Amino acid sequence: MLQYISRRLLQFVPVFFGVTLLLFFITTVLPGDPVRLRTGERAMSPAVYAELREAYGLNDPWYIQYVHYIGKLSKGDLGTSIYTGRPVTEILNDTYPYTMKLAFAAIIIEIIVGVAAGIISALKQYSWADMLVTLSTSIMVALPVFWLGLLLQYFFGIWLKDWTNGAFYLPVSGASSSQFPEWVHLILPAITLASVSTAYAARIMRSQLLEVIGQDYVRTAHAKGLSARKVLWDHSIKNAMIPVVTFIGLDLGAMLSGAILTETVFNWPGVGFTIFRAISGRDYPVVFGGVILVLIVVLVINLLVDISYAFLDPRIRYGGGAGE
Amino acid sequence: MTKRLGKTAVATLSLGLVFAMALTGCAPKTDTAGDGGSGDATKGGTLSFYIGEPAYIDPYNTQESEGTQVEQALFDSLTAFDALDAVKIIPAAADSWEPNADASVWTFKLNKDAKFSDGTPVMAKDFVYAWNRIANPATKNTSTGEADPSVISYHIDKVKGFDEVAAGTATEMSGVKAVDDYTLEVTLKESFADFEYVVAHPALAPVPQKAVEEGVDYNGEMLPYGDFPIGNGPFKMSEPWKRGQYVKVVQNENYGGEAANIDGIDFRIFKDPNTAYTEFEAGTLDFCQIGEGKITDAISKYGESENGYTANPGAQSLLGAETAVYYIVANTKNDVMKDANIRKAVSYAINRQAICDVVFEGTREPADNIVPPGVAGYVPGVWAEAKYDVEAAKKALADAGYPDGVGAPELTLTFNNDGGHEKIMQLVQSDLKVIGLTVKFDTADFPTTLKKYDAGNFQFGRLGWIADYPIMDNFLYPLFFSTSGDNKSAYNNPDIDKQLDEARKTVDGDARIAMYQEIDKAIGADLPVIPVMFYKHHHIASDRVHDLTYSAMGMADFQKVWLEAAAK
Repeated sequence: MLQYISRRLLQFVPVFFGVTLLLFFITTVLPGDPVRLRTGERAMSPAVYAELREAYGLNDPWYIQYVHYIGKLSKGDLGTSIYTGRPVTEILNDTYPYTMKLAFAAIIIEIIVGVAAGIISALKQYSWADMLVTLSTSIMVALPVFWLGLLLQYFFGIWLKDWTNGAFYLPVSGASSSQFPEWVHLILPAITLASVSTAYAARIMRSQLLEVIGQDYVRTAHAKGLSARKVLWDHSIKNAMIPVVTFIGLDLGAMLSGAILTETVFNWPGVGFTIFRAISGRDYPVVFGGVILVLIVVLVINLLVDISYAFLDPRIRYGGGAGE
Repeated sequence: MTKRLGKTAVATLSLGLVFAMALTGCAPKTDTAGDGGSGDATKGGTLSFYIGEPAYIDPYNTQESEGTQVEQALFDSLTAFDALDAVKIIPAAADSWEPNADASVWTFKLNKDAKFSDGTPVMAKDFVYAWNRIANPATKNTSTGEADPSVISYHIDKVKGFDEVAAGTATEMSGVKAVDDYTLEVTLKESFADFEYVVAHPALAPVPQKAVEEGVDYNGEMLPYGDFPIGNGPFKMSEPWKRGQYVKVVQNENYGGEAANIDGIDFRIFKDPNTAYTEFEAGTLDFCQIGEGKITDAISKYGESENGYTANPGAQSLLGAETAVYYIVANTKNDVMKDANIRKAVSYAINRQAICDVVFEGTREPADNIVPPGVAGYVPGVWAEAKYDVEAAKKALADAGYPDGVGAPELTLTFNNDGGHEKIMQLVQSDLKVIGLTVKFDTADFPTTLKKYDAGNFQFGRLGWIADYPIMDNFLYPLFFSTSGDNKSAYNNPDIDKQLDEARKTVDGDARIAMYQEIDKAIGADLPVIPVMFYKHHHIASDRVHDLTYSAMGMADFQKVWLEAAAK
């Protein structure tokens, strides 16, 4: 296993350099000058323009900029935002914890609700519960995230407040306020972000479990006299979980990359909108810093997902030779 | 089965209980400020005010309206615009001021009671320091300690010695002098009679050198000045700027002017104005833009302000005209667009009212001048061809040699495909088709489009202009002076250049405005750009807000606003 982890970690190196090189190259192809954009439709003084381009090293060829960037990165310096003049590390420090909070809250909902609904749906196939799960997951998949967010805002933030004469409601946006504990601010955005993924997790769990419980080894386990609970947990659910874990792992990676729509609708101060705005404003240092952070997170999560397979299915072993 | 159902029920009840507890914990705290709607101004309360994310709130680099709005609360510049009559200049940090005979030297006498929020007096040297900081390209960002030149130095580029500082051959402008502690003398490179408007901009406020260079002590922690600016305005920071979330300010007890009625302002930062409007509807935000497509609904629910700028309960929707214009820019160096008849045909063909109604729900109004209402000297309809007249459009096209568009070249309209411009341009395209002109689009994102405009690599496009100061010069000089960087139409009329320079030297206000009106009319006859719409407010205040004036310049007056005992 250790050998496997080491090998995977080594693979991070070419992936890292490949992605960052590609990123730097793309910036040379993209039209639009990040410095010129600082003043928008208004002209910029030629002296200030020249000074800013020099300050951000934008007069160098892209490969020289890349070498400088990697040099600074090795010292933990992700550069400075062209638009706000702030260090990128500070920007990511400000925003990424909110992305993590939202992502983990959403993934918890996805695991609890999605997996539970999938199990119930599979075990009670064709029952009203199964139909309910099938119907509700179809609706959740079909409903655009921003629309669901707006509906939740209206229902819990406005309608419920009016209906209870201001006694009960949920905050409709933001990450903190004087009226509510911080965790309450997470409820609506986390539900919104988790909605589609929860539906998919439930669907995958249901189909996988249905397939597994029809397998010979499950029937054998029953025939050997194992309790229904043990057969279900040890032999069925764990095996059925592998594709679900893969999905949830990838989904966690995606959520940790930022959720632009959810962040926008709920005014959540996460990294997704920050990177999005940086891309449209050609604020390359922020884009690079954000992408590098997300890249590392995704690589690590993928590794963790792969390692978890070994736990879920003892037949899966890493690092050994052929035949193992 | 019974047992299992029981567990399910318990689980459901538990979840319900947790949720109910969460909701119970969500009952709002009541704001006890104010004495409750007597009709007279009451003291106290915190105004919750929408802004987008500012790039800077340190005056030296504040360009966009978000940061300027915060600065307005934290700083007093030398002069100020009256919120309801932007043309009227009122004293702020300066008690009085006067220009010399040709308006090239300005002397400002400062308010001797004025103090920064840390208690240190505001002196002429603080203006000298602040202005040199803007001019000097080596100025450091207080967060990084690295050079971060100001992008708004154009405000003071008329000051003598600016060019030397900008070029790095001097560190202080020779034209800004502290004659004594409370007298500031500004010498300009050339006469500029409207300079008193320029110095009203919040970016030109004084800053305390020590705090800028050493940082600001916040509960024992030294913060960069840019995160916690110390100013001389009616409010001061109550905690560091929480980026992406809020800027909180409270009354500055050291303020040298009249204290505001409210205790403080929470500038709440939103990514999307529609989310802010949802917060407003939830009753947790006092001021914001009206959500997209909700103007009519907002007016019927919350009432409309009579003057369009001042909100009071029942008259909460603000729809007053802004000092901003949306226009089509024609590249006068282009083979096709250099023909004034083609430009006239385009201008006459555009149904401006339809654009305002269809795309903007009436929150814009047809533009009949490049100078908008709210600017001293605006004359309605002075740009004679800036109106919808299909027959006149067809005649102009025929005069250009293309009767009914026969033989006319296909036109290329270059614009950015974000910001909702496509809807407007589609209407322009269909309007032009009516007179026989075929238009194809050349769209890209804003950076790419901007590059084409800067390089003159376009036939005609679209732009907007928002006034920094409510004066005609702020439209006519940058947009039409031959060497101005903002003159994207490449308009080059030596007579106009000469007249603009003359107007700047004219100290008498009425005579100056009359000169600008003549210039405006002459440019309108040449039609290098085609005015399309004037912007209007589409903002709203909550029903606990009284006397909140949001000026034509898009700046709120926080001095007079007061809040009814809240919990509404």
